[in-house]
Amino acid sequence: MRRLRSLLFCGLFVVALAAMPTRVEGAEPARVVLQTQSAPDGSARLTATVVDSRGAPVAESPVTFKARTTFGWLTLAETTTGADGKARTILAVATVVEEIAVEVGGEGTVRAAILLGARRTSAPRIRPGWDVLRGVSPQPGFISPYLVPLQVILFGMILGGIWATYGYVAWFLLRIRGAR
Amino acid sequence: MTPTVPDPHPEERPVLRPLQRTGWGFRLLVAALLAVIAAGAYAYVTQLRLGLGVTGLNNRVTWGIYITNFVFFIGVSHAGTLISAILRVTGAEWRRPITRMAEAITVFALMVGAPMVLIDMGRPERILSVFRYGRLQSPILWDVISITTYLTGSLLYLYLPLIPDMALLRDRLTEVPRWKRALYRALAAGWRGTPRQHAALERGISAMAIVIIPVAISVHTVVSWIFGMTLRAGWHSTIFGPYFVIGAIFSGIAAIITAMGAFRWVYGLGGFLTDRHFRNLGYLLLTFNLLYMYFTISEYLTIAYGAEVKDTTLVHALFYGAFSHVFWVMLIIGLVLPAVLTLIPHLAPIDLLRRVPALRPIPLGVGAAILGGVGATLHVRGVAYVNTTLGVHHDVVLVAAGVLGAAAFLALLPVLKQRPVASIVLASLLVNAGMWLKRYIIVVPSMALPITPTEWATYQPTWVEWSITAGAFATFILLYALFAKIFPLISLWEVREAKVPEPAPGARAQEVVA
Repeated sequence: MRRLRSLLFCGLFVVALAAMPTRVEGAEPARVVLQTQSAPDGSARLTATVVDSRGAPVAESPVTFKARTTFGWLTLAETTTGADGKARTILAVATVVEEIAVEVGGEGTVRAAILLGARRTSAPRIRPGWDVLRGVSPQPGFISPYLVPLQVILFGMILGGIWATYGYVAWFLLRIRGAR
Repeated sequence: MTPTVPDPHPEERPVLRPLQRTGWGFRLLVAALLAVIAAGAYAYVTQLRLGLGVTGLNNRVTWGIYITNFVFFIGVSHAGTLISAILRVTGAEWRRPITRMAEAITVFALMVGAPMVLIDMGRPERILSVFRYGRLQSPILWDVISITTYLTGSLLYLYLPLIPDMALLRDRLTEVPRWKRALYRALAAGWRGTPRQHAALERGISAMAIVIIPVAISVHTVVSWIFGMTLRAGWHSTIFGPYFVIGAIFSGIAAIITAMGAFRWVYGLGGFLTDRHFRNLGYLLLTFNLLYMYFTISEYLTIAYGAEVKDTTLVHALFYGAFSHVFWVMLIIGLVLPAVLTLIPHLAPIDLLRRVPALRPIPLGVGAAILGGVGATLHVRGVAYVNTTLGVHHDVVLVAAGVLGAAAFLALLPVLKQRPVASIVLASLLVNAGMWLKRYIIVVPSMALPITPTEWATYQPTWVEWSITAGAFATFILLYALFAKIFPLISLWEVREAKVPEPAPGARAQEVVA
């Protein structure tokens, strides 16, 4: 009888364990969800939620936040997920970033990306020169890889003036040749 | 009546003689120059075949003596067009015999200097990338455009005043090879000396003289911006634009005086290139020498006073360290000695030395005293700077050599005072050498300076770079010598025009011309 009670107790313990929600340490990340929350000061709070194939949160998983700029992908932060499977960072100047991505794991096997709201405009996303004139370009005029209208006009006026003078002088040469 | 081209005057024979006869001296000179150019070409082929690894350039010092040559030749190019244009616009009549020599210097200096960038690039076809991927905001692209514009303008500015002389040679110089006559005929552009042609020529030259001044200034300013727009110590300076332009005009004047001295001596052009021309250009040389000293002091004082670590590191390297020998030699032979040489005619104590031979050892004594004082000072202070590459003892040797040389130079002053032209030509030669060294210490130390906390980079030019440099200088001299054999070095029609009396008020210009 005593042995039967022990067996019954063990059976109940196993059933209870099986019924409890479990989180398997070292589970492979299967999916990552990236969320942004904009702040009035132009910054954005980025949250990446990593889950495994069963939808359970994956803790202590390395996460890399990246931002795509005009000059390429820029690493914003490298962190790890907490017990809730979430990793967070703050993007201080969200207005200059076109796209945000998050990669999980050293190899970046799981990835999610999101276009920032400010950049979801109709093409072209960067209007060469015009944005500089309006003061909203991500780069000042001398750093911008695009032609800036004001610079082009000034450059054209100076260079055009010089070469026009050369042409004027060449015209005198023709007059010398043609004069009798 | 159709005006015709006048006969050459008897006094113009020395100018035309080199066009008609070629002596052994010239052939030997050409052979020697071609040999040097061939050595330079071989070195360049070696560099093309094996890569820039055969040079002293490395991933830290990517601009060595090639870019030094580039900046030097672009500076020399200011000789001509800018100085000629300024003198023309300001109505300096004495300029007439020297303008053509000056304008030719510009064209040839640009032809030799500009390719130096291609040589430094290693793979010359990559120049296409400047056009394919160049950004309008880049000073590199500005440089390419401004130099191309300057070369085109300088060619025009050289050619326009040549036209009447080409007509003179076409009509009056019969004892020359057929190809030369065909060349003169083509370049004369149908010149007959009619009033309409004169009017068109004068207007064309005036337009070019005005436009070429800002173009010339822009060229060396843009060259300076290639350095100044970077954040390196020694380069990132707001005065680099005017500093470079003043330096360019300074070395340009020196180049003209050197050429004038050489041609006056070789071709006997003393009737055209008089002492007055040398004296006036000597004054210009002195003026720009003082201006350059002012800019140099301003530049280094500002850098040193700020006491930024990278700046003080650079200044120490220049004043006491690895580059001090180049720096002090540059200062002495490029600025101090030329100033003394150009002032010689006005230095009264020199006459005293000449009249009283017993006083002549005084300069040597003064030199020895200076040597002792400087040597002792360096020896005492040397402990603080002993960590520099060369070390204080090396500096003492250099200073000793320099001061003894200066003392010997002082002893020669009475002799030089009796030969003011030789004195000014010697000053110009020293300026040329000094300004090359100056460009070297602008280019190399700032590149060798560690940006991150690492060691200084080392740069030692190899035989390839020296050979190509020698070839470049030989090419410049050869082009100039060939020019002198084909075209008159003196603008004959302009010199003649200066001798025509001023027209009466209200008289028509063509009456004077006819």
